[in-house]
Amino acid sequence: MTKEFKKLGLTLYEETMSSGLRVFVVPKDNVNNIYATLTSNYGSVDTKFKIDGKLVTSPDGIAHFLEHKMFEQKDGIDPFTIFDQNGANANANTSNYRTSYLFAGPSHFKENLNMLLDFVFEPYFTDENVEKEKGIIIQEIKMGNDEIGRVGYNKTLENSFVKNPIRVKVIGSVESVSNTTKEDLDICYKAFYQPSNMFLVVTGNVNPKEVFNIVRENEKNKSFEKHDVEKIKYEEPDKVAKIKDTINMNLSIPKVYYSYKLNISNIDLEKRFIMKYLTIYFDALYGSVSDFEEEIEKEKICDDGVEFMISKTDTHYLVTFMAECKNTNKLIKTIDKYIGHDITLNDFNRKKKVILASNIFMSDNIYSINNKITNDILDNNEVITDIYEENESLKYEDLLNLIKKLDFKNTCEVVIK
Amino acid sequence: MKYKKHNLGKYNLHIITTNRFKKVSVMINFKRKINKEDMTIRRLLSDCLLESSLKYPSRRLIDMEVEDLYGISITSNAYTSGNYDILSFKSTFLNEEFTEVGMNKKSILFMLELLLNPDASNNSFNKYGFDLGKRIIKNEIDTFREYPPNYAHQRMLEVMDKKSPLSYRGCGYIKDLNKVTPKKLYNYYKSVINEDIIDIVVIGNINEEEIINLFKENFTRLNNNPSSESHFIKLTTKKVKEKVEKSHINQSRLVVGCTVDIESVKEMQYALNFYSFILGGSGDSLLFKNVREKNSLCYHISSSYNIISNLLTIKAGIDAVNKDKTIMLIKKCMEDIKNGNFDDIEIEKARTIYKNSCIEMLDNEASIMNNYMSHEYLDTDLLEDRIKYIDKITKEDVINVASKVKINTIYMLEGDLK
Repeated sequence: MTKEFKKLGLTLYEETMSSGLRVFVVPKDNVNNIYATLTSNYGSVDTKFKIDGKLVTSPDGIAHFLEHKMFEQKDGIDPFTIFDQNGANANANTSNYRTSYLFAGPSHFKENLNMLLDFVFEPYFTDENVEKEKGIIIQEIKMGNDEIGRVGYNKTLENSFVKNPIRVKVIGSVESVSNTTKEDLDICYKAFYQPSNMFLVVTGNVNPKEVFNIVRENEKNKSFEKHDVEKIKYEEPDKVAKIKDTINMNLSIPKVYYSYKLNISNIDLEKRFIMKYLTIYFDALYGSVSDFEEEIEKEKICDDGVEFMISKTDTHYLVTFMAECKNTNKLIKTIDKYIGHDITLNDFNRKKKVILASNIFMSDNIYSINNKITNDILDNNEVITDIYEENESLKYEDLLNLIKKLDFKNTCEVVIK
Repeated sequence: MKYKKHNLGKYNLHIITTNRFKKVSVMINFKRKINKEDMTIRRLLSDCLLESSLKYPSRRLIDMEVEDLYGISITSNAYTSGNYDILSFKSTFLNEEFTEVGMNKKSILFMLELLLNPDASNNSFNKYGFDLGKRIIKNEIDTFREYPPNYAHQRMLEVMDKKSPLSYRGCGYIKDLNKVTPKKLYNYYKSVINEDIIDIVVIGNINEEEIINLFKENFTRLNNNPSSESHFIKLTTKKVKEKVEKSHINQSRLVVGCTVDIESVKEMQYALNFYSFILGGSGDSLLFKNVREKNSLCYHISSSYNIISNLLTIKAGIDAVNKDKTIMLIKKCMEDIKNGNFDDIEIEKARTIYKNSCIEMLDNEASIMNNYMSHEYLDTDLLEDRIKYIDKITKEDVINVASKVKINTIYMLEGDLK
């Protein structure tokens, strides 16, 4: 199946393999490089699930632990050795909702892709290699505990959510990592690394037919088990777990993380539109071209502005402001003062212009294209190829209506001092 | 891709024409011999020029124009390159074929507007923007310690040789910041515009003549471009220095600084690159395999080098109790390369990785510009030439370079949190 990204000069090729693995290719012949990502719809939040009707509770951080252990091969060959030999950069990452394995390299594509499929679909866990990994992951945890931004953001999620496991760190804790066993990894692998729960995205200087053929050939030598898996849904209240919190890290200037927890489950708009409108809204209201920013700068509340990010769950979006500032109370009061205000049509149109330009920038970069496709599959289960037209159709009135429906009273404040 | 250097007398204009990108990038570099006392004022200047200008007297008005110009990005960076201090302004915007006719010119003029007509009157920067910039730089200096990897690296350089420009702090110094006044900043700005060595690079699918004329008409200055000297800094090792400092952090940061007894740019660019890669350049390097995979001592370990000096750096995040063991393993890995105790395949891996990374960089306009400027400033080879030369490197070249690597400084920022 092919679909055009109109206005962006790209074509998407899609095929589903007999294993159930979906493969997406966007060729781009004016670059040298090829970027491939193999993603499982499995992240840190999926610690509790049902497999073939049986409930499983696994230790926190297991998706990330599994990611580390996938590079272990029965024949003792380290996938990194092969990728290095082929001049490719390989890596993997885990977030709340996904685990991705990836490589980028302008040569030896076939060998690289086969290696990727082989190491992800042929796990080799032993008690010894699981034990050995713990020291490494514990060092990674310690490194994260020294990163101020990460500490603040993790605490924000922990304090904002009550039930949803997004409140738990992706990496887990020293304790949960220490308690992880080979059996835990086996069952999670079985559940979430079924090809039908995964997808491959390749962008760059490739021929789509060749990609499909390599995957098809590779699958012939593999057998896949089938299991019924059910993810657990959580009843998340609108209230936050803890309204105010302070962490001491001996900072010379405090860092503040201030969030609004928004229930979006009853909003009559597709989720990705809610996201687009919220992004425009918060950028217009609190970004560098806002009355808010002028005020905090003039009042010397905060010199370098505020940034915000939006974290998603199926029922709530969490909008988090981050800033370095000495008078955190005054900053929060000022943020609260503006929340819910309308933005102007002019603001809306300027932001829209920038979004449309950013779509063109995206189409010029194989990493951005790959990311966009991956996010689309995870969020919508399909690739939105008319993204440019969709963004052109965004309406000012729809944004104002959405804002009216939101309740901004549930907030969460984390200050690192 | 076509590289062309135009000496316009007042400055050099380098034009790289390629139809690979939907965007156009412009980089304007001001450089002069490094002077520790001037570093802070240069950083302040790089910030203040983008905070406000005569035509756009606030960040808000600048950013409004940024949005109207289809989200053009304008950034500044003040950094050291060996013996030189560089103020670099960079702008990236969509080529007008994807927006509106005339936008290329409009975008470049906007960038020049910010650089050439600062927010100043009576030979003095306006106080509001000046104070804001000053507070931002002060915050950066104050918080520098709070990023352990950068701080530990900086401290290693200072322990190694606090007189060397390599150890000057990129964020600047409070005592120098306190001396700057709006008037002094303006005088300094004038001297940068008129006396620094200026190089301008433009890359994209553009008309060369139009770009040359655009700059000729809109950017001139008093003096002709001065000539440049070498950026290269040579370090020497007499005896190994060791230092441990404590900090309230969880993970200890080990930084080992080594000097390499070479001066040839070719050897730095190729044999040393291979050496550093084999030692600690990937997830399959000697350090990664021995320190992380076999002994589980760390999550992060790597080695790197910078062509502006003969310095090679090894970094690792470890538990303090494992310091001696880690250093012992690092030394062992270095010895192994020196004695040729590694497979030939390691050379081939380094070769393919290096070559492919050059090929990949040709996909990225920022990498092309940076490599081109490195060719200009440091006499390194252009990407296209590197791809060819990489084939010539042998195992003997790497062993030879390995024999010239000496540990100079072992620094550890020791975490005292449990």
